[in-house]
Amino acid sequence: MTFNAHRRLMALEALRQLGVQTESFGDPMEYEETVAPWNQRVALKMP
Amino acid sequence: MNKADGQNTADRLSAIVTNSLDTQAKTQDLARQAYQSRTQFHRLFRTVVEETPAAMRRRLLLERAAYQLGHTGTSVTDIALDANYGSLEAFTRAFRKAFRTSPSIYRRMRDPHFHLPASNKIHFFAPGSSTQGGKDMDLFDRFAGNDSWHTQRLLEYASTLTEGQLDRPLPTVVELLPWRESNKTLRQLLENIIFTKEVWTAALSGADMDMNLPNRSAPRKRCCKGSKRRMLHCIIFSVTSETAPAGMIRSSTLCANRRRPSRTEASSPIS
Repeated sequence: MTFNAHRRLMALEALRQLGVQTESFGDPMEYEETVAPWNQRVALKMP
Repeated sequence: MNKADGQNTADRLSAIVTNSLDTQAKTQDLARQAYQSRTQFHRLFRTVVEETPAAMRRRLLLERAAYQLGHTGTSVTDIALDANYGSLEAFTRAFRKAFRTSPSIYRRMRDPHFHLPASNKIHFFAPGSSTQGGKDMDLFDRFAGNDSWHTQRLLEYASTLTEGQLDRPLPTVVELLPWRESNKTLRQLLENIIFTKEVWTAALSGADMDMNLPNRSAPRKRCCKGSKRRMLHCIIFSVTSETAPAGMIRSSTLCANRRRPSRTEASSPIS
């Protein structure tokens, strides 16, 4: 996960340089909000 | 009323409500404990706690019910009665309105979250937990989930690029493991992120690795392979969970022990 975090940052920088809008990417609060129970769209089955 | 007095009043009034969860107390009874009239108690409570006494009590009871659903084997009917609901139907209706899912499904999700939104930050705390913040957070689960979520987002971003952009050499490259992998293009970088997850997934689950993946797969196709990434999160959660013996991990049993995937993960992959 540590190495992948570094790879993700490199990928993000590459996306930025290619003109992709990546503002607010990586904000942990955004992830926390998606997993909060009041934001869940129930998915019982995992692939 | 200065800020310290206001906080003391809020603590005192909210304590009256939190201590009344196991009684059939009405607002009038609570007001009596605060040596105030019903109207005065209601008005003051709403001012300093930013919620009415009845609404706060209902919310705390639902949070306690959610905790019991996720952490105990008590039947839904008993939990409903414990939350002062007269019938299972009424409890289910209120629970669904608050948590947007039925009690039985919530139990199957094994969701560690049981707090409802509240501006006053007063919540039900599990027995033995500290009120100074959650100490039962599964950090491995959070890290793995966050990692999968970020990867999914990156692939979604990358799926908007052309083939040429994906294969354009990166201007600045810091090679992590130069003897094993190359990160000279965005495509290679994304491939390596996914490959790492697939290796760990295969190692932890004992499954075979699919070595026949095309070397130049597009991010769109990789999004379809999202199950592998989510499976790693699933496996890590199972390994760290007390309910899943590490030596008996099988992919078919993993998902039953895992909490819900996030909304992003649950959505249909990009095709």
